[in-house]
Amino acid sequence: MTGWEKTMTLLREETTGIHPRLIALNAVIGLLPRHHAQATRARMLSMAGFRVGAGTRLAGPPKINGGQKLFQNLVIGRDCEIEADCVLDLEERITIGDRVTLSPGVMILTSTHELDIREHRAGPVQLSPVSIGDGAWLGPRCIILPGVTVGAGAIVNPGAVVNKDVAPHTRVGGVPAVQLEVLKPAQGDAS
Amino acid sequence: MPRLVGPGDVASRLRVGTFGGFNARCFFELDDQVTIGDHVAVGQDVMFLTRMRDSSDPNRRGRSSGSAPIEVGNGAWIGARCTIMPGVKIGAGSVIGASVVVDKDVPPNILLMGTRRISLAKWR
Repeated sequence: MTGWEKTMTLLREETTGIHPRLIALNAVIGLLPRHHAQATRARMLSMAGFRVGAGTRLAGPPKINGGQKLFQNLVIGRDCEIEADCVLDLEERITIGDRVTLSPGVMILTSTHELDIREHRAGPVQLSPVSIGDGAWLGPRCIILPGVTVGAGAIVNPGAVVNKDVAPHTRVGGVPAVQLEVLKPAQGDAS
Repeated sequence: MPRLVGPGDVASRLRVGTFGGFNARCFFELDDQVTIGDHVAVGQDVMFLTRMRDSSDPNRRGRSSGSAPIEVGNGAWIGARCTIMPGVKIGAGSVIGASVVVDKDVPPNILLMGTRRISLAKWR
């Protein structure tokens, strides 16, 4: 690799997380007082290019970061409730279904590392998408690790760290999260 | 700067005693009363949540269902990154370790760390 190519690669790496549209969005929704203008905040997110369903409300500006496809990587369904201080890592796709509740301080991650040699354990970056099923409730301060699918109507207890898929209509909790309870699914629901 | 959020007159729902201390970035969700006694120390990034959610509806597990007050007794000490859930009463003289989610009442003079519960009743 020539010096020029090296410089250009480095420059691309260094600037891939800069999104003028996101900076403008944060500047505007940062001015809205928290826990007010919840529907307006969601509207502004969808105006900026994220897919946000009707009736979704955001209590505070989510902390968003990610690579080039940032704006395609967030899909939020209808009538969701997203509270303040949520962290959404949009290196890969995060799909949030309908009527989902994200409590304050929830962190959804999509990028991790491969385990590498002992001199440098955090190896190459690994991306995997996360999906949250309809009607799920993520408790305050829980962490969803990359590649996890949270089933419909599932509950993640406060402070849990979820590293495996969560079956629909179950409650998980703890570090790492384990199944604590099987919940009653909807009437007439086959699952 | 602590953050206070909630509907209406937020300031009327927070009662703090004397000689207390709050570290940086505390978060108070003041849908209901939060009462903090005298000589209470609260660490960084502690969250006081008062909004209840009802999980019985399978189509929306996180449906809002009212609120419940939080009470922290005199002399308690809450470590950094704790989350205090709605309706919890923390007894006088109890110590909560860092990063604990307090979802049940804590009796007086108990040290809570991770999942361990140690009695401090004989300590002074």
